Amino acid sequence: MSSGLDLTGIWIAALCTIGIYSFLYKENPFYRLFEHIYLGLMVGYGIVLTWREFLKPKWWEPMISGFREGNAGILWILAFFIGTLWYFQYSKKYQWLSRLIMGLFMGAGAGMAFKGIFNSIMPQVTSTAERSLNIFSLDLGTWFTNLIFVATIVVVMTYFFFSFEHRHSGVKITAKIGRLMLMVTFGAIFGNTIMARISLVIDRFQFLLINWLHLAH
Amino acid sequence: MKNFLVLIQQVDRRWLYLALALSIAVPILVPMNLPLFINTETRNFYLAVDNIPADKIVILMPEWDPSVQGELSPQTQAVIRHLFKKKIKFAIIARNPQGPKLAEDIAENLSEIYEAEYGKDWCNWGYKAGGVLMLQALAKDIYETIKKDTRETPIENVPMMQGVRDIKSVGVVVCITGYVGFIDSLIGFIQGPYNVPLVYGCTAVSAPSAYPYLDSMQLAGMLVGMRGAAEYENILGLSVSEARATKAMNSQSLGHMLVIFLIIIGNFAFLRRKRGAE
Amino acid sequence: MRRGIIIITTFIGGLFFFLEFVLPEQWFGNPNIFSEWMPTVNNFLMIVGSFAVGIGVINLVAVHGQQITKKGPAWINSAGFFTGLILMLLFGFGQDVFPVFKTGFNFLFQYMVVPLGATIFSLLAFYIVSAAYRAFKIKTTDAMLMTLTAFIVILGQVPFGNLISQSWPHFLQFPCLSAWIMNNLNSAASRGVLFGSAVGALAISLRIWLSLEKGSFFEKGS
Repeated sequence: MSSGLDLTGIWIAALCTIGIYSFLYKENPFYRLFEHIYLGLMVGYGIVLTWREFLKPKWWEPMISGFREGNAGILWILAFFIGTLWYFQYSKKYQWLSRLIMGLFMGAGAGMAFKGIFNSIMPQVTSTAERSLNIFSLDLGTWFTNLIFVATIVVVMTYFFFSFEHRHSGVKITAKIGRLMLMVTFGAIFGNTIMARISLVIDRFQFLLINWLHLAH
Repeated sequence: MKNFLVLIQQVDRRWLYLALALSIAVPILVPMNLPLFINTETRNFYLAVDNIPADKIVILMPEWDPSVQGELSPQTQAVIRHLFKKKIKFAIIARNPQGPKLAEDIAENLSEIYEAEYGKDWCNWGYKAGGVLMLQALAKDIYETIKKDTRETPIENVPMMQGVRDIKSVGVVVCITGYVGFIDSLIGFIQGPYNVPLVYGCTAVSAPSAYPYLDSMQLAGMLVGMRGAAEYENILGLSVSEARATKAMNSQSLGHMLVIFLIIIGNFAFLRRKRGAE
Repeated sequence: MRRGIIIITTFIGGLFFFLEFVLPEQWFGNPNIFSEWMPTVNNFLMIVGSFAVGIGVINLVAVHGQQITKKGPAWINSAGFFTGLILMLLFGFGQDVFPVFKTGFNFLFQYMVVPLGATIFSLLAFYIVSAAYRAFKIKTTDAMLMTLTAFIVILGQVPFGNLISQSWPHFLQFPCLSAWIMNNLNSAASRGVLFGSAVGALAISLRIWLSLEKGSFFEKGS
């Protein structure tokens, strides 16, 4: 893009940024308007990209080529007929057809879940078993860390075990320690959340101060 | 004293917003040079990308949108710089519409600096819908799944894609995302079945839930938020003008100190009032 | 009968992928037929699934269209929504006919979509600061432990924390302590949660696959 267009764009971007930040002072119509414009732009962008980068090369072009040349691409018309089943949810009489396609995808998702869960969780189990076996390591630091690690997993899982009531004092204490370990995790998550959110503001301020006002570099 | 405690607890939130704005703006205007600690997971991320065999490509998955730009744009920039510097070929693909465009803009800006050529050194497969279905199809047959790149070139005609038919030609998958659950599907359907090294660039919010995967070596390395990007820039040895995330860590520092200060002050006032009431 | 067809369709949808996973790659010298057909089936389902993009658009257009036609109180915001949508569609689809529209499309994305999206979500930082001041009250041991860990992690993430604790013993320095907490305590607790949620996810997946789940979707129209 030309530098004139870039400069115009930077001023428009700055206007958008300040328009949104005006909400921090008070609820106002500019913020709401910019919010709705953003929604419209995002929806439009999603539609354009779904067509241009996905449906057009993978479905439309092979199908048209199939009709022109008489090859197997013709079969892609089936995808269109099945895809339109989604829109039968707007019909009271034929709504069950939309549940057909939803059922297909829910079944496919459930079937794939077995593969995904086994492939992601089994290495976690073996890693925990390895740590358990290495509890008796000769290095004091490693021994302590492995013991804490395995003990934390056990107490946290005890806390989440709701199949029986935590009546026995041993189970009660274990579950209570599990809860404390979860508090440590939540504290870590909170600390990371602070960093994440502040990073977003830093990016915007860098744009305003460096790219727009040129007050820093 | 009692009035002061009441005043502290009832301060208008807009003063707090102003305090945060100042704590972020001042370090941008007045740069500082604070020492950065490089974490092991960042170093491992760097090594996983650096040690890729010469005959393999990298799949870069920038699965983020403008809402997490502050954290993930610097990460994407740092990774692309590394790939260009080492002349490692990479392909961009994502399961969300905005990611490939955002990464392509970054790559185009940097390709001028590193003299990288589209098609030979990098390419953009674009946005592909389908989630897990797309991953499974991609692993088996890249040509059939992708068809054309974003410049509408048939994928088999892109110079760097010659002979790159399936996941066996991929040296490492770099997933940079803020969406929870995306990395689980990559581990379940790409890293697990095919043993492809996987590295993860994430927002700080999603990092805690990814540490178990680091421990079990399902993730070869991880970049955590803006801090991860700053550490990566340090490892790459980028200059002051190039290291935007490193400069941002000064604002991050002051912002964090402000939050700690506010929590302490808020609890101090609360406890003193409670004791006063008792 | 309709419910039966839906149950069978759901089961077949899951059966393909389940068998692809459980059957071996080679079976009496023959390759796993489900793995051979996987790319075609996946591509087909991806395309069929992407046709659903219109549903969200129809709902949004209906809601905002009603606001404009009935001159609702915030009709100008709905007009803003349609302006953004029409401009993006015009430049997006028009770039094949008028190449100059590609510049317009990129301009809208780079100078409106990106700053608006980034700024809207950056508001969260201000809310979190306000919430940390007003609502973060240490009343119990749990809250104290959570706060202490949060402080260590917050200071461990930034150069200030490194600077403050530089002269302390190595394992007590904020970055090292924070890394130990994340790699050990947090990792272990998260793994415990992961195991529990994985078992739950498996159970739910099985119930959905076999249509044993109850709820409005599963019982409607039967």
